[in-house]
Amino acid sequence: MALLELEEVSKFFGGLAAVSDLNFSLSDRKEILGLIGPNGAGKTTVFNLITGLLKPSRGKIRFQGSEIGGQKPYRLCEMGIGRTFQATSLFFEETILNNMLIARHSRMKSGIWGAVAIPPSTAREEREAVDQCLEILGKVGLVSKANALPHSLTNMEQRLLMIAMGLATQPSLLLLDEPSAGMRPAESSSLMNLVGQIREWGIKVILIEHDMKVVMNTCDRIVVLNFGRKIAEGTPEEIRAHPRVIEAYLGRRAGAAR
Amino acid sequence: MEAAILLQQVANGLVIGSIYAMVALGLTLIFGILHIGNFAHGQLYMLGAFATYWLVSLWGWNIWSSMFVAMGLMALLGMVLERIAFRPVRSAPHINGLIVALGLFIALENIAFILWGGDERTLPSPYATKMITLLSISLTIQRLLVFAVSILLIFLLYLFIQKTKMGKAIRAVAQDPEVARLMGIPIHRVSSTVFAVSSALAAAAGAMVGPIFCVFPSMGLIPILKAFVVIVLGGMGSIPGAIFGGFILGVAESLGAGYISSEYKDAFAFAALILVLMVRPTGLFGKE
Amino acid sequence: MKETSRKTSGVFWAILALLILLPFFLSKAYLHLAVIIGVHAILALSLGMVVGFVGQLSLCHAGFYGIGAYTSALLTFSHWPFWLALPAAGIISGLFGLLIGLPALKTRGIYFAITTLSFGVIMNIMLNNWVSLTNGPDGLSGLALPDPIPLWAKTSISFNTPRNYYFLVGVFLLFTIFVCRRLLDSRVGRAFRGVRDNEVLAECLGIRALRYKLTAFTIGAIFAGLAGSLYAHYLRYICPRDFSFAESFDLLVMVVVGGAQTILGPIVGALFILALPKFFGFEPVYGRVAFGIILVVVMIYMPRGIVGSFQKGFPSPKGGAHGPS
Repeated sequence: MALLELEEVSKFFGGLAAVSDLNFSLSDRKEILGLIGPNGAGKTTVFNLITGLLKPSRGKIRFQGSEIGGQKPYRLCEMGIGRTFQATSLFFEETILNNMLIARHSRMKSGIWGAVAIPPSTAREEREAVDQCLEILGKVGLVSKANALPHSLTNMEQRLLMIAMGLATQPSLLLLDEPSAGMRPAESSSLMNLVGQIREWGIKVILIEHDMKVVMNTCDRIVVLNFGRKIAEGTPEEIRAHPRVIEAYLGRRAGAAR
Repeated sequence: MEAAILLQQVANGLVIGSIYAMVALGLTLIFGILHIGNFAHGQLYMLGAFATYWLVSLWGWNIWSSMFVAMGLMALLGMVLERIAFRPVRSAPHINGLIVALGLFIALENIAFILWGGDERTLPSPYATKMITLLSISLTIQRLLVFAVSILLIFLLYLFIQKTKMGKAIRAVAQDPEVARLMGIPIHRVSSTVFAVSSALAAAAGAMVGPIFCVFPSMGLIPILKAFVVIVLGGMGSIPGAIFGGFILGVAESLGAGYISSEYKDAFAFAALILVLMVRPTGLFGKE
Repeated sequence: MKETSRKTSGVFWAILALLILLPFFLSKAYLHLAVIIGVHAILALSLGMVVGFVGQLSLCHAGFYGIGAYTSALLTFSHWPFWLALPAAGIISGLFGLLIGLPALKTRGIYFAITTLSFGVIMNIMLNNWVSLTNGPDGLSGLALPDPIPLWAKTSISFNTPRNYYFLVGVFLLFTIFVCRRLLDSRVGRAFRGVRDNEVLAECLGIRALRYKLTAFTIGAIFAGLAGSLYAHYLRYICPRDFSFAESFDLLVMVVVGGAQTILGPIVGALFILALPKFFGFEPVYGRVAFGIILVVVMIYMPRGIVGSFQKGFPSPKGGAHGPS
C-alpha cells in the first residue's frame, strides 16, 4: 500500500488553478522525493493540501490508505505527517527545549488533571518527553542551545530547529519546504546530510528546494511542477536531461536547442 | 389598521436607523484606515450632544448653529485623540489599539460624569413637539429632520469620498496602506481627516438625538455597541455596509420591539450578531 | 516562564507570612478592602487565563462573575448550604463559559471582542429584565453568610467577621494561583502558549487550537463564578449593576496594567486599581478616569503591563510588536 497518494488533485482559487490534475505517490521504500519547479509552480500549495491547510477542489489525497483531503492540520499531524515552513516559523517567546516540547504535544497525553495533580504517570511522561526532545536536538546538533531563545540562534540553527520540531511529532512522512533557505553552501550541504539521515531512520521525506545541485545530489526521485501541473517525474539523471524541465526553467529556446 | 402600525414601526425604525448609520459610518471609516475598532467613537457622539446642549441652553444659540459648532469641536477633538492616542499604536497589534480605545471610552465617559453629573437632560428643540401625519404615519418634525439631515450628511460624505482628492486618498489608504505610502499619499493627514470627519458625523448624530432621547454621560454605550454590530454585519471598512446595515438594524429593531418584546429590544442586535458570527466568523462580508 | 528559583520561593513565603499576619493589624475598613481586593484578584486571574493564555480580549467576563453570584444566591435561597452552592456556582458559570465560548472562539481579534461584548450585554439585559428570577435592577438582598465550619470541641469558624472572610478568600486565591501555576508549567500550558504565539504552527504540530482556547475560556469562567459566589455571600446583596460592562472593563484594566501573561500581574493590577483610589480618598469616578488614561498610556509605552515589563523588558514605544499577551 502506498504511503501517500495524490490522485487527480486540483486546487482552484477563484478562476486560477494553483494545482491541476496532480498525480504522484510515495511507497514504503526509504525515499527522499524532491518537488521542484519555477516560482509559483504550486509546490507549497501541494504541501498545504497534504497538511490540511487547504482543501482540494478536486481529486483525492490518501495517506496510509485513508482519504485525508480537507482534514484538519492537527489530525494529520496525529496521523503522522510532519512539515516545516518556507518562512521561519517558531515560538519565539519560548526556549528551544520548550519549542520541542510543544512540538511533542501530540505524542503525549496528560490533560488538566495531570497538570494540576501531577500524578506519577504525568511526571514520568514529562521526563521522557524531555529526554526524547533532547535526543532529537542532539541529532541536529542543537542540544547545547536547549535553554536559549530562538532569536539568539543563527538562521541555519533556526531552520534546523524547525526540522527538529517536525521530527518531534514522530512523523512517518516529513515535508520540508525549502529548508536550506538563506544558507551558505557548506551549511546546506550539512543540512542535506541530515535529510539523508532522516531517510535512513525510516521517515519518508518530500523536499521542496530551489538549489538544483542540492536537489540532484540528495533526492532519489523528483517530481517537477510548472503552473500547477506535473511536467516530469523520474530520477535526477532523467530530470536533468528532460526537455520540458529545461524549457520550464530556462525558456522555450533552451529546451528546443536540446 | 395592521398596515398602519407596520408603516409606523418602519418609519420609526428608519429614523433610528439613520442614527445608527451615521455612527457606524464614522466607525467603519476609522476601521478602514487604521484597522482599529474605535470604541471611543461613542463618546464623541455623547460629547457632541453635550456641546450642542450647552450652546443651546447656556448661550441661547439656535439648534442648527449649535450642532454645526459641536461638529467642528468634535472634529478637533477627534484629531487630537488620533494624534496622541491612536497614531502611536498604529503599527502595534490591533488588540493594543482596541484597548487604547476602551481606555479612552471609559475616561471620557467618566470625565463627562464628573463635569455634568449623571442626570438626563433634554435638549430643547423647537421641532420636538410639533407632529406631522402623512399616510397614517405620525412623526415629530424632529424625527423627520433627523432622517432628512442624516441622509443629507451621508450623501455629502459619499460625494467627499468618491469625488474629492482627499476622498480618493482615503480609499487608497484603506485598500493598501503600504502602496499608498509609496505613492506619496500623506498617511498622517489622511488619518487626521478621517477622524475629523467621523467625529463630526458622530457629533451630529448626538445633537439630533438629544431632543428625542435625552443627553447623559452614558448615552454613548448602546449606540457604539450597535454601530459595531452594524459594521461587523455589513463588512468592516465597508461604507455601503455601514449605511444600509444601519437602516436595516433600525427597522429590524423597531419591528422587533413592536411585535416581539420591547424590553428585550436592545438584545436583538446582539443576538443577530452572534448568530451571524457563528456561521461566518468574519462577518457577512468579511475578508479575513 | 518558570520562576522557581530559590530567591523567588523565599520571597513568596515571606509575603505569604506577611499576608497571614496582616489582618490582625488592620482596621475593619481596610479588612473590608482587603476582602474585595482578594475577590478581584481571583477574578483578574480568571480573566488573565483568557487574555493571557489565549491571547484574546474577552469583554464579557463580568457576566460569568454575575452568573456565579446569582446562582449561589438563588441556590442558598432554596436552602442549599453555602459550601455546595459555591462549587455549583463555579460549575454553572463554567457551563455558560462553554456555551458562549463555543461560538465566540471561532472568531478572532475585534470580532471576538465584539462577540463577547454582545454576550455580556445580553447577560446584563437578562439580569435586569428577568425579574421573576433575579428581582431585576433592585437586586437580591438578605443573602446568607457561609455556614460555619465545625472544628473540634464545639467550636467552629464562622464567617461573620471580615477577618475570617479574608482568610476564606485568601485560601481560594491561593488555590487559584496554584491551579494557574500548575497549568502554565504543564503540557496544557505549553499548548496554551503555542496557540497564543503562533496558532497555525501549533495546529500543524498537532494541537487542537479551538479545544485549548475553549478550555482556557471555560476555566476562566469557572473561577469567575467562584469569585462571584464569594462576593455575593460577603456583601450579602447583589444587583445587576455590579456585573455590567464597567466591571468587565475594570477587570481588563487590572489584567492589562498588571501584565496579562504572568500570575503576579493580575494580582498586582487588582491591588493597584482598587487600593489606590481608597488610599487617596477618591470617588470611583475619578478612579475610572485615571484607569482609562492609565490604560492608554500603558498600551502605548508598556504593552506588557507592569509585572510583564519587569520580567521581559520594556519595549520601545514605536517598536511595539507586542500586545498585552
